[in-house]
Amino acid sequence: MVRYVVVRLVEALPLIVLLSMVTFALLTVAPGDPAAALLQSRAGGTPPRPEDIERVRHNLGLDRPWPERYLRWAARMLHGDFGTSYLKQRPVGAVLRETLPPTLLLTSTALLLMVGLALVLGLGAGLAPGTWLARGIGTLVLLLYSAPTFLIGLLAVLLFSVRWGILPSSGMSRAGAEITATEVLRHLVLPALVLAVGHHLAAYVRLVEVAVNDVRHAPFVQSAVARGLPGWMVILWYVVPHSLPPFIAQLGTSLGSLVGGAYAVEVIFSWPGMGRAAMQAAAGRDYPVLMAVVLLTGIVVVLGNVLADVLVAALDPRVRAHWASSPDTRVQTSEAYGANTA
Amino acid sequence: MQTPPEVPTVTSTAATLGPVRLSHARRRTRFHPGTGALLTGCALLLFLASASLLAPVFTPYDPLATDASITELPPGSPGHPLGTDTLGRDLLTRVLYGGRVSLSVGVLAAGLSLLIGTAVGAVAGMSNPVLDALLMRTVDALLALPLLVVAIAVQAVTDPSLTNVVLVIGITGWMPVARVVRVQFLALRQRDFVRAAVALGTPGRRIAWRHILPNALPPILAVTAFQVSHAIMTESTLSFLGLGVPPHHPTWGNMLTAAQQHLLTGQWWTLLWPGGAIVLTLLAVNLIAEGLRQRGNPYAIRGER
Repeated sequence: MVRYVVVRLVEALPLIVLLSMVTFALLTVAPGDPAAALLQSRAGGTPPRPEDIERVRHNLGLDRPWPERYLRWAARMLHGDFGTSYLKQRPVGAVLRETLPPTLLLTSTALLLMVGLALVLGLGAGLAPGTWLARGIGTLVLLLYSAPTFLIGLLAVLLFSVRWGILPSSGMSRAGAEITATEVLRHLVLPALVLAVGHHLAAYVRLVEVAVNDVRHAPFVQSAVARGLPGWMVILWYVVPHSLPPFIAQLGTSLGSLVGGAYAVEVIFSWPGMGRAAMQAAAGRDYPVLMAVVLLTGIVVVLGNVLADVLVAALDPRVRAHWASSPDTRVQTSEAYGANTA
Repeated sequence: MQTPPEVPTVTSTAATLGPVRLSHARRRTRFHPGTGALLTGCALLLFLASASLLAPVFTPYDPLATDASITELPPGSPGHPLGTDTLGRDLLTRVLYGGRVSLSVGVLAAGLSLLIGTAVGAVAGMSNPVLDALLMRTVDALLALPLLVVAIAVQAVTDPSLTNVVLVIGITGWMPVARVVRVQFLALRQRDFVRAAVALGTPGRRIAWRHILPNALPPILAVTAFQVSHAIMTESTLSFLGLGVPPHHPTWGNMLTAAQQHLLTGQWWTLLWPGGAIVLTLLAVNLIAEGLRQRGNPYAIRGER
């Protein structure tokens, strides 16, 4: 098990390097000269002279070949120096530290909500195939699958905030002095719910439904029923655990689009997270902030993937056994489960 | 309940074949699973596509023409059945013309994904295990990235244009296609007709093109249809965030960016029309994809559900 974790982590490393190269390349081709931008911001807006730009370029090492610049840049990143925001005139690291917790709060709440909803809906549809309930859930899920997250967000703002005035659509910002837990919760409900039902729910409901259908008549479930266990206990003890591993494997692979959806949701609800910071940076051409956020998001998502794989291995004895017996013939968990969901 | 044997000499065969033949006959009269979804989706998509293609027939207005005298008309106003936006542009016109952009971006991007994905998947499925493993690990790795976020970063750096949107969505969307193509190639490579072709000395490229690819088409088409839906969704999201199709083009995502600013004043119609158009289009494409997926499996047994 420990070896599995270590190997998965080592395998994730080249991916993070690749991601950092992509962000570095994007930073390099981004329009605008960082040296000029730096000088202009220091001089309070007056355009700098060409020889000054040349000097600063040399001082910053911008005239070196790109591999050297990349390594310097990566080394600075590893030391926690993410550069300076063009727009806000403050270290990017501070921006990240400020925006990461709200984003983690939002996405993890959304994940929990989604898992709960998917289990309930999937069990409802899977335990009673062919009934109006199953058909209703199927239709609802297909409709939700056909609506982009941001559209569900806009609709939620229109209904819950504008029409009925139940929940706030924005205003969760750090400007205010004291933020109470209830206030945070009130602001969290709507965006988290939108993120939970937006786009992802459908795939998970179907996974649970399929898994439930698979095991409903399986011998180990039948024997539990025969032993006289109450229905809810059979479901909770025997059916639900069986549906979890493919569920978690799918969570890992779709973590990326969940975070992408979070960007849009944060913009709509003015949530003070990384997504909103990234979009403000994109609008203001504040590339150091944008790329740092993209890189950090990517690393979080990649590590989340590893975590999902490890969880699957921990939950599913078959995957664990495969790994323990012969590493060469191990089944890629994502492949073992992804084949029928693709 | 068993069919009485017609000829005494084949009793046992007839007795065992009887029920099978019966259920075969019954199955004939039913549609293959997925047909309903496929046909519904096709009809809906045909309706949406022809409505946006024939936009000039349905509306006399220019989607870009502004008119300060008729701003923010509610739906049902004379001459503007769906109302107008803040700049006095007719919403029906913009939804119809927006469909042209959104649909073509979706189809073109998915086409690009299909090309790249088929190439990579075919190479992985035809080549030696080492290259195959390498390519598939790359696909897995790329799928682990937050691709929408990467697309946002690329779009923020480059100048917004229709071509860029298609390229970004196409290049970030080929991995699922590659997976499906590879699995199909690996499976079909073992089949007798392919082995026969190999035994006859058919060159590998010809085997891939003429023998394997045509047989792998149904699942490839299904996954491509899902990619169309994915591409339309990504385009609308990017456009909504202001990083997709340039704002002067009427697309559904761009219309929703404007709608967001007027939500608080309760102008629900600026949200409902383009939003409804997106949902209907995605519903149509998803139905097609789902129908293709179910029909793509000839071994699917009807009756078990």
